[in-house]
Amino acid sequence: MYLEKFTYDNRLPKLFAYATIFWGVVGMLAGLIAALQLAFPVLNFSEHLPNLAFGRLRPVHTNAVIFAFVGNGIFTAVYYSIPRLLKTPMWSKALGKIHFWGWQLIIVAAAVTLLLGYTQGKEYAELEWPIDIAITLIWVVFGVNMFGTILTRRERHLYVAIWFFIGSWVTVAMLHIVNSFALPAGLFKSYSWYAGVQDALVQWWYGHNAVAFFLTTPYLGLMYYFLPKAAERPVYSYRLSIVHFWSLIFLYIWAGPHHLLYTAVPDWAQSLGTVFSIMLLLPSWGGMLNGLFTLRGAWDKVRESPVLKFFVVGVTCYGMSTFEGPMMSLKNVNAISHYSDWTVAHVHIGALGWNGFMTFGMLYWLLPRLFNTKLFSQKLASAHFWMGTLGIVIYAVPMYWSAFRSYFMMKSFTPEGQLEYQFMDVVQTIVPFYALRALGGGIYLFGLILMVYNIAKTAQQGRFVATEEAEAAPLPKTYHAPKNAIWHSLIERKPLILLTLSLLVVSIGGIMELIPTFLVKSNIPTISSVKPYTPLELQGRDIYIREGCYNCHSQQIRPFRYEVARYGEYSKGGESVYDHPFQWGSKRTGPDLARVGGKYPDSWHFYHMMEPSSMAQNSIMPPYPFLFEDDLNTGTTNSKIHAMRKLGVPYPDGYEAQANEDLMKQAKEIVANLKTADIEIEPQKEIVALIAYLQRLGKDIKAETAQK
Amino acid sequence: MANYLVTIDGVALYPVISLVLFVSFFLLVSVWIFRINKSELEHIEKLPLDDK
Repeated sequence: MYLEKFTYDNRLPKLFAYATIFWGVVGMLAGLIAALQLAFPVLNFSEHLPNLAFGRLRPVHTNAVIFAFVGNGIFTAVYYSIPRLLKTPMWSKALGKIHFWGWQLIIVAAAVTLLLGYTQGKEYAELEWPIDIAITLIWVVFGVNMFGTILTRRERHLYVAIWFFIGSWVTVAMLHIVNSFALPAGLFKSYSWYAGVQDALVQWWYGHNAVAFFLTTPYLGLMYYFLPKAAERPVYSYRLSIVHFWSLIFLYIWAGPHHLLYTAVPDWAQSLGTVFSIMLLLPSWGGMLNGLFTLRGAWDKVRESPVLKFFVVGVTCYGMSTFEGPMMSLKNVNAISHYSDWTVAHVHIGALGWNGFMTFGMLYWLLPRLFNTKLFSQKLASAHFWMGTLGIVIYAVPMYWSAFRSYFMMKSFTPEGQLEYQFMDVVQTIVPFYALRALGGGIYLFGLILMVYNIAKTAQQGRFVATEEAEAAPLPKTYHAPKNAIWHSLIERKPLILLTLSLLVVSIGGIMELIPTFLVKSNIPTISSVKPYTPLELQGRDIYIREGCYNCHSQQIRPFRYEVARYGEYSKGGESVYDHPFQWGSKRTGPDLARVGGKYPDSWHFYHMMEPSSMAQNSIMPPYPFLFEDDLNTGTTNSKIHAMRKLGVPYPDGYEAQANEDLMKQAKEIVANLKTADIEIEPQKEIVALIAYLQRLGKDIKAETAQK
Repeated sequence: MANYLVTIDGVALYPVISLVLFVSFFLLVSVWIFRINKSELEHIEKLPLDDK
């Protein structure tokens, strides 16, 4: 048979692997600093500069770990495995380079803009619209290169890893585009197209599936390729991997509303989220078992090989977090876990255990091969493995402990029916757990540093193999599928059908959940007393978003006695109809703010923002002295009001002309009010706008109750 | 903003449709995997091991 000669390029996999390691260190370092800030607030440095405070640093950490560390990990796996599985080089070297450098530039732009406070205020989708567009373009470049390769392949069958890559690519594209719809109100400012309940549903449909289709399915592709290679035996059951793929992508897309249990999201959507999350347990565990059983009869190798050790614990962590996830989707469990450190522990079992360990396993396997040598030190790699494992345990256990501890404290009442503990009492008791968590993260990061050294030494002792020669027969023009292979030949050999079908499968869930919420009015009952924000409040809200307050404060009170007693009447959907974007939050490191308006005098907020511990002893919130020095940029008021009206907020026509006048009037009222408490401040300072916003929160519905 | 449907009659149908969709989808996939030709399967699952 005639064999065609071609070469596999190793340069791009090497570049992506290096980027994975580099961003891994950066992202985890940001995480470690953020963790330390919660234990030692002085590390926020916000007295000196605004950029490193927790609210801005935490999105840098999450974005760096998800899109930079794991993202580059995905691309390493794709650029190494796809050519070898399809017996052809990547379709275009130029597109590959554009993809690599484009992605790194996006990461740098993301880190810089986030630290500067440019954010859309939606978790894991914080990046502003110009970067969102750049992501879309580079994602298309990646897709074209991948599909070009698939369409010019020399192997008829698409191995299951490639299905996972295709499914991930198409779904991430859909999620990113739908969730990032925003109306620009400046070069680095935009407002989410959706508001309140709808924004929440779209955001968590996105957020949950960023976990699913960025952190999980591409890494399952990685698992299905690298685990058999490292174990030198085929996957346990290929049939199971097919079921794994289709049921996973079908079910995952529905599960988003489990992030919104007990909120103002309609009940039926919450229930759908729960049901599908429970069903997800089956394909997830099918996949985990498929991975672990691949090592049947090869467990002796696990003892010897750090690569397999990392894979085994990585896959086990996948199983643990995909068991935990469905459990947390049960409403009774979610009542405890939501807003708490449990969620943080849960995602870190996934991120550190599954994504981290799978990445390390892949890199320890791959880099010696790229340099045609042996790993510099198996012992160091083993040490890395043990430090990583220990790090995960020391990270997670205190977080679980803290979650239950704060739950029991928050919900405890005195015999007289009063809340037994203040919020600050709870914070005070969990700070030691934050310190322990940082220790766990530090140990994990130190293990990663060992890997950097080990891999640098490996590269030094070997010689880089830039290209590998290979040969394979071209695909025959005509193909007769074997008997009984009808389904197979219909889908599995036809990449474009596979792509379309994956898109169809993942669209169903989104369509079924999102469209009714957008169409049916009774899903979001409007409340007549809820009015749009005044211009000053709107500007204040943008400061709230800029400083990332939503990273620690929720604005969504659940209908529990202990929440209503602590924060006030539970939140209604109609209250956030003008919130572009919604700011419900997902974590309560600080108290809920949905009804903070009017709870304290203006002067309280003034002193609290200047030095939080002066008003709330032992507070771990960073101070914001720069808000007292910086002037509010009122030049943006017009375009902000204009953008909001376009999004459906009922400001009267032509209100732009009057907006700044109203803004100054309200600012002067606040200043006058502060003066009665002997506080001198100029009305144009940012703090005045922030106070206006905070004092507005939850007031509308209070006004309605007062009227009645 | 005014183009809302007014009620949510029959929303109970949604979970049922979803369940039916998933079960039929799952059955389809199950039928599919048991009809795969065995020799093809063996070829495919060895693909990652044979890249030289």
